[in-house]
Amino acid sequence: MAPVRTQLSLVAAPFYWVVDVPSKMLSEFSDMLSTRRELMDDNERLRAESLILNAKLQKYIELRAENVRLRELMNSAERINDTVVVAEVVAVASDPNRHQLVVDKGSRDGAFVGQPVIDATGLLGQIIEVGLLQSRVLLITDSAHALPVRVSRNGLRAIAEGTGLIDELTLTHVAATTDIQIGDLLVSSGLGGRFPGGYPVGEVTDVSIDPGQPFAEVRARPMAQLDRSRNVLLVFSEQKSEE
Amino acid sequence: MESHAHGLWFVVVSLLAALLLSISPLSGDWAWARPDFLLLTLVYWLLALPERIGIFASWLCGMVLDILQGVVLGQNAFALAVIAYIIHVSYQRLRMFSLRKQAAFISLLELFHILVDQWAQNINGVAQTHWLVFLPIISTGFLWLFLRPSIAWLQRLFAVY
Repeated sequence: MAPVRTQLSLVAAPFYWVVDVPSKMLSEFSDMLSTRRELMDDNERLRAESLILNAKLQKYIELRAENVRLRELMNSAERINDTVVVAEVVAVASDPNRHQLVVDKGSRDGAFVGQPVIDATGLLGQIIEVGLLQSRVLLITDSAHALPVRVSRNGLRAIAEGTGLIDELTLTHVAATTDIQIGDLLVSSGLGGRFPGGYPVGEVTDVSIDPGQPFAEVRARPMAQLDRSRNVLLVFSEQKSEE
Repeated sequence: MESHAHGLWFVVVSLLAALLLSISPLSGDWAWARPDFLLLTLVYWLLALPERIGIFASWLCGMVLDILQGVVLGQNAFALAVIAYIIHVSYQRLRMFSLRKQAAFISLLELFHILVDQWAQNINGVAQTHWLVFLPIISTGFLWLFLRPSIAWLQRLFAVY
């Protein structure tokens, strides 16, 4: 059935293109109307941002080298940098129960089923259907989605499940005695073999422990801007892209 | 009854427009209240041109909607085909209904459509079902009050028969 769907999704491409026209036109229109003053301000801000990021990058290069050294000491393989491709969101699922996006990169651009998708702030989801020109992304908050995470503070492993709410994840089967606190950062653990490890997934917002229950109820807020991102990044991990 | 068709392009255009409206982005909570544009447009043509638009056309439209929404193939197609059948056996009576009575009947059809959707989704593992999914029943019925006169006017304008 999958190849049939791939062919059929070609039918969908023009529809999504037409639906996207108003928002595209709007953004182009506002681009045209932006004044010289605004552009100069933007430019200045971006310069400053670039400077800060570059400064951070220097530190990062140093840390990376150190990381490689330490990994060599421990005899474990170095994690190779992931490459990313920028994709644009052309549509969101019309049914609010389904947390899905359609992005403008398909098999022509090398996208594949199961490919991780991130945005500037965190892990967004994964590709579940690839067409020639477009693919469909399942967000981490969809009620059919779950991914293995790790608490960055202490390495505790858990499963983050989507709840069907755009701003909430739940951690399942976390023992009531576990050391987990509000504000803890959850990063992908890479254990499922689907998502590369180390990407921010969410921040713990609520831990409620009921003495009568064996497990704590832990909620988290996704780091990625699931309902705002216009541009997302498709991640090509080293192993996957060689297949 | 059987005569040369005229202006059928408008039927196609209106159905395409309905499909576009059903995937166009709606912000936040408004998405819950999205009226079922495809159902409304199909029901209009099923009532107005029962000899041209039938179960197969409805099934086909449903199939395109399935592809656009990325849901189980045949979910909308099945629901719309059954709805087309219901209309087909009762269109003579439905045409006699007042506008408001028709709107109430369409709300019932929309309820059926939603139930089929939810049923297919639950089988497919999308477990969360919020009561807001039933909101389109009201919005779809309400929109019929305005949509039927408007399409009827356009149908006369473009001489569709």
